Amino acid sequence: MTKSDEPLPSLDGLQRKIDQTRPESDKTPPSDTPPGALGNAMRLGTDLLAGVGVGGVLGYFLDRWLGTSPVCFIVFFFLGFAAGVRNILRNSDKIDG
Amino acid sequence: MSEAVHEHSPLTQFEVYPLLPLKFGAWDVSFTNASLWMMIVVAAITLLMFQGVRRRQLVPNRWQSTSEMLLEFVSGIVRENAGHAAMQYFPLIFTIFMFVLFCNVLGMIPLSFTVTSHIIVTFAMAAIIFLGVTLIGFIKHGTHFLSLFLPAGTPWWMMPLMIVIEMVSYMARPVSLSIRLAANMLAGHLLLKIVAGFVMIGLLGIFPFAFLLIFTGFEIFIACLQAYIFTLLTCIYLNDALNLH
Repeated sequence: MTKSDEPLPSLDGLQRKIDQTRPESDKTPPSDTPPGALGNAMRLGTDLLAGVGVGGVLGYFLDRWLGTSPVCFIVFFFLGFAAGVRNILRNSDKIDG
Repeated sequence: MSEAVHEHSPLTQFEVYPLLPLKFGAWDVSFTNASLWMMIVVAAITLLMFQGVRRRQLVPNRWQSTSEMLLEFVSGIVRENAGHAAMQYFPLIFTIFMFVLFCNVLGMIPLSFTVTSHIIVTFAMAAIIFLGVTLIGFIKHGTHFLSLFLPAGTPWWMMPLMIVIEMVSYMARPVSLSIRLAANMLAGHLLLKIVAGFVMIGLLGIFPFAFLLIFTGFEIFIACLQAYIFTLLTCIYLNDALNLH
């Protein structure tokens, strides 16, 4: 949370009111259950697929535009793969910690 | 394809057909079965939420309890993944969650139509989220938002490569978001129908039938889980736009 993103004043007031009304025993935030390994596993495949797909499509249209077939397609195909792996790494960071 | 084969195809359930043909200029804006089920979903959500707030009691009735539970659940996701500042966008995120959840769950009713199994529906939602989040990022941070495309601590000689990779990975977000939801719904419903076709083989059909029983429950779980994941990722993307590293 950054300082520049102050919530709306009305929301702030509401939160204060909720905190005052709520009994002390409720104050601790409920422990959330982790999304589960199954959900994570299913996300990985699509992340990789989407990276490669977007990279491939991007390269294909760059080729059509620049007339350099198939250089851009091949380059962006692998860049897309890297992007997919990057997305997986980033998302798994978010979930574990 | 002959009519008899077509009738029993596992793909028939995904067919979009017009119920009320309409033309708007050159566009086909027919009222289809997909439109009908979207309206049923919206009506069901509206009914639940209106019944929930109609009589506000200290000891809630079932309607109020259900709507409060859903509201608290989503507000928990938003707070934990995007911070308090993101509560400004809570109405949008809650709407998305409810729409996806109800589309998925109502799709489990036999003979119903699963709106979210069509990639164009999920992609439209993902594209709105993608454009909205990008816009929010530029409004909040101006051109500084572009630093999202450069991970902190990149050596200078890796910069051109990393920027391109990060941009491709940013553009892959709406694609993976929409494919994940649509593919899960499509695959699950397809599998249910295909296995159902094996039940009629005779006495041994008891095994596919038992599998179907278990798998239907699992599909309902998947329907809720995918709504949760869709919302969770929306919050993670929103967090990237609101809180730059």
